[in-house]
Amino acid sequence: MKKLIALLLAAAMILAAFAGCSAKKEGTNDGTQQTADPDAVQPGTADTSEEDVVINFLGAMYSDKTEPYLREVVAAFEKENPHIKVNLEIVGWDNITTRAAALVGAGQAPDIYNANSAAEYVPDGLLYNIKDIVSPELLADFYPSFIENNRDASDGEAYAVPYLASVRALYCNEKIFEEVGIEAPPKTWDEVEDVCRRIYEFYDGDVYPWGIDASTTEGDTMIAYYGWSNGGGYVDDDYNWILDCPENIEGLEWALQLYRNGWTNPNPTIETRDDMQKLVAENKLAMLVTACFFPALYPDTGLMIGEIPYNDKNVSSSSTLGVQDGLMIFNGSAKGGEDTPAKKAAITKFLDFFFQPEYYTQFMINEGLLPATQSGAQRLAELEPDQSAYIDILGGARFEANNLVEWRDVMNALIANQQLMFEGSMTAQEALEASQQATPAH
Amino acid sequence: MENEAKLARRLRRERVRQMRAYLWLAPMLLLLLVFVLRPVIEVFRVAFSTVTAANLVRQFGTLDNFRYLFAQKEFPRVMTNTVIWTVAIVALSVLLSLIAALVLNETFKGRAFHRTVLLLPWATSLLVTSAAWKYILDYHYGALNALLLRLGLIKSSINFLGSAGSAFTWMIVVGIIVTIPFMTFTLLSGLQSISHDFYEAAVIDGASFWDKLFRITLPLLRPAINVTIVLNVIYVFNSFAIINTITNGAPANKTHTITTYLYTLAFQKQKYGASAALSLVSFVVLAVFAVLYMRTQMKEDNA
Repeated sequence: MKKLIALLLAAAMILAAFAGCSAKKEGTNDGTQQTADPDAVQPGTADTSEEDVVINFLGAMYSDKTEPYLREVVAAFEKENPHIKVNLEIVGWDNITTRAAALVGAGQAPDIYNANSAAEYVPDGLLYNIKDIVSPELLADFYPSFIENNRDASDGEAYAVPYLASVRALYCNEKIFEEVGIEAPPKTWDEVEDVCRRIYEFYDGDVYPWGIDASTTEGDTMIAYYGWSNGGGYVDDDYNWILDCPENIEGLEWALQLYRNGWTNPNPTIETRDDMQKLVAENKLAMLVTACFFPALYPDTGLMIGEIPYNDKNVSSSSTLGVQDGLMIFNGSAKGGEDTPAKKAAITKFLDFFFQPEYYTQFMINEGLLPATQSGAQRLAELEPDQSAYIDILGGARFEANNLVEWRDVMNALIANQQLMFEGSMTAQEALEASQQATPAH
Repeated sequence: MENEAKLARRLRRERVRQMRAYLWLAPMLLLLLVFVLRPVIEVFRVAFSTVTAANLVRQFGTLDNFRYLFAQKEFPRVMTNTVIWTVAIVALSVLLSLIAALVLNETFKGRAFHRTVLLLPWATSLLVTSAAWKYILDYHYGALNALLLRLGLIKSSINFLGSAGSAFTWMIVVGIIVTIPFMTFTLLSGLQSISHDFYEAAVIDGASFWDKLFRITLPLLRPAINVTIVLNVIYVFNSFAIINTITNGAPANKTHTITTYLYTLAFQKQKYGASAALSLVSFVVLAVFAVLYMRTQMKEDNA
C-alpha cells in the first residue's frame, strides 16, 4: 500500500512537472500567435483604441528616483488609456545591456529599450526607424542636433528616439581651491599644470590635484578630454578613425605626464568616475571632469564649474563632451511577430505622453539631466534656471562616434591599450597605434 | 509449464521493478535534460555559429569565434592566470587545510568552538566576502592600510590593487581563505575514519610523530585528499565572484581567469560567440584534467 502511494506521488510529481512546462509553452504560443495572426486585426480598419495592448518598457536606472517616478508616469498614462498596459522594468546600467541581449536573443525584445547606443541592433534590422513610430509633432519638438547625432553611420537614418543628455564639465572643489588660494577653474593645459603643482605642493601630495578615469567605465572619454582639447578626436568628418593622430598622442602624453608627476589619483586604470566623485566630495581630489549630474549627487559639496581645459597652443576653445541616451523601439522581427497597428499606435501614444513637459521635465530635474525636447528645455528654464545654463553648453557639445557599429569593439581595444600605457608597458603612441589597428577601414 | 509461467511472472515483475526505477529517476533526468543538457548543446551550437552584435545566432558551421578568441592579445595571459590561480589556491589550501585538520583532530579544550569558527567563513556568501576584501585592500579607505599605518609598519598607504601582479596575488590569498574551511572539514572527516588501532600499534613499535604522519595518516587519507583536490580544482577553476568583485580583470585585462574573462566577453564586449567558444575550451581543459588525474590516482591505488 505504501509503495502504491509513493508511486502515485511520484507519478503526480512528474505529471505536474510536465504540465508546468507545457502550460508555459501554451502561454507563450498564445502570445505570439495573437500578434502574428493576420486575422486578429484588420489592418487600417481596426478601432485601435478598443484593443487591449501591452507595451514592455526596459529602462535604465539613473538614480533611486528613476523607478518610482516612471511608475507614476506610467500610472497616469494607463489611467488615461485603459486599454494600454505598460510593463515597466527598470534595471541598473551595469546589467541593462545584458538583460536586453538576453531578451533579444530569445526573440522577446522589449518594445521600448533605454540605452546609449543603437548601433548594434541596426545591422540585424531589429529597430523601427524613428520616423515610422514617433508622431510628427514630437519629432519636430526634439532638438535637431540630437536626431542628427543619432543617425546611423551606415545608412544615415535615425533608430533611436532622443531620450535625454548630459554634458561633461570640469568640477573643482571649492574648499581646496580656497585654501590654496586659486580663484577660478583653470582654462588651458598650462593653467592646469600650474594649479596641479600648487595644490600638490600645498598639501605635500595628500590631496590629488587632477582626476583621471581610464577604467572600463570611462576610459573611452580620454580621447574626448585629451584629444579634442588638442585638435584630435575619434573619427574625421567622414567617419574614418584617427585614433593615432599626432594630436591624440600629444594629448595622452600630457595626461600621462600629470599621472607620472603624482598629480592624479594613484590608480587611473581601476578608479572609476564614481570613486573619484566621492574623493572630490571628501576633499581628497581637487579637480575632476565628470557629468553634469555630479552636483545633484553631492549637494553639500561646494563646487566651481569650468569648461574642459584645452591646449591653447593648438586649439582656440574648449570642446564639451555631450552624452546622449536614446530609446530604441524594437520592431516585430525582434519579438517573434509583427506589431499590430493598435500596438504601434499605442507606442506612439505613450511616447507623446511621456515627452509632455509636465512629466518629462520633472523627470530631468529629478535626475539632474538635460531634456532632448525644446518644450522640455523651455520648461526647465522656467523651473530651474541654473540647470538650463547647461542647455546652452549642450548646443555646442560634441558626441562620441557611438553610431558606428564597431564603436564598442574599438573602445574596448582603446581602453585596454590606454591601461597598458598607464602601467608603463606601452607609450602613448604605441597604445594609440595599436588601437587604430583594431579599427576597420571605412 | 508451471515453471514457464513462474518465469514469465518473474520477468514481468522484474520489468515492473525496472520501470519503477526509471519512474523514480524521471524527475531528476528531466531536470538534467532541461537545465544541463540543453544549455550544453546550446553552447556548442553558439560556439560554432556566427553571432551578431544583437545576440542573434545566424550561421552554423564556422570557426570564426575560436579565431577571434585566440587572436585576442590577453588570451595567453588569461590561460596562464587560470593555471596559476587554480594550482596556487588548491595546493596551498590543501597544505593549510591538512594542518588545520590535524590540529582539530586532536582533543583539546575549545575544539568545538574552533571547529565552528573555522566553518563561519564558508557560511558567508562568497560575494559578501569578496566585497569585504575589496574594501580591506582599498588604497584610499582600506582597513589593511589603516592597520599597517597605525602599527607603524609602513609610512604611506600601499597600492595593493594597483598593479596586476600584486592584485592577482591578493586575490589568490582571498581564494585560499575561502577554500580552507570546506577543505578542512572534508579532510577532518577523512581523518576521523582512520582507526585508532593503527596508531596504537605504531606507538608500541616506537614510531615517531613523523612516522605516524607519513606512514599511516597520509596514506590512509589519500582517498579523501584526492576527492578534495578534484572537487576543488573544478571549483576554484570556475571561481567567479572574487575576481569579478575585486578587479574584474583590471588593469588591462591582466587579472582575468577563464571564467571571468568569458563573462566579460559576453556581457561587456557583446562577443557571445567567442564567449561560448571559450567555455568549450574551459570544459575541455577541465575534462582532460579530471580524466588524467583520476587515471593516475587510480593506477597508484591499484598498484
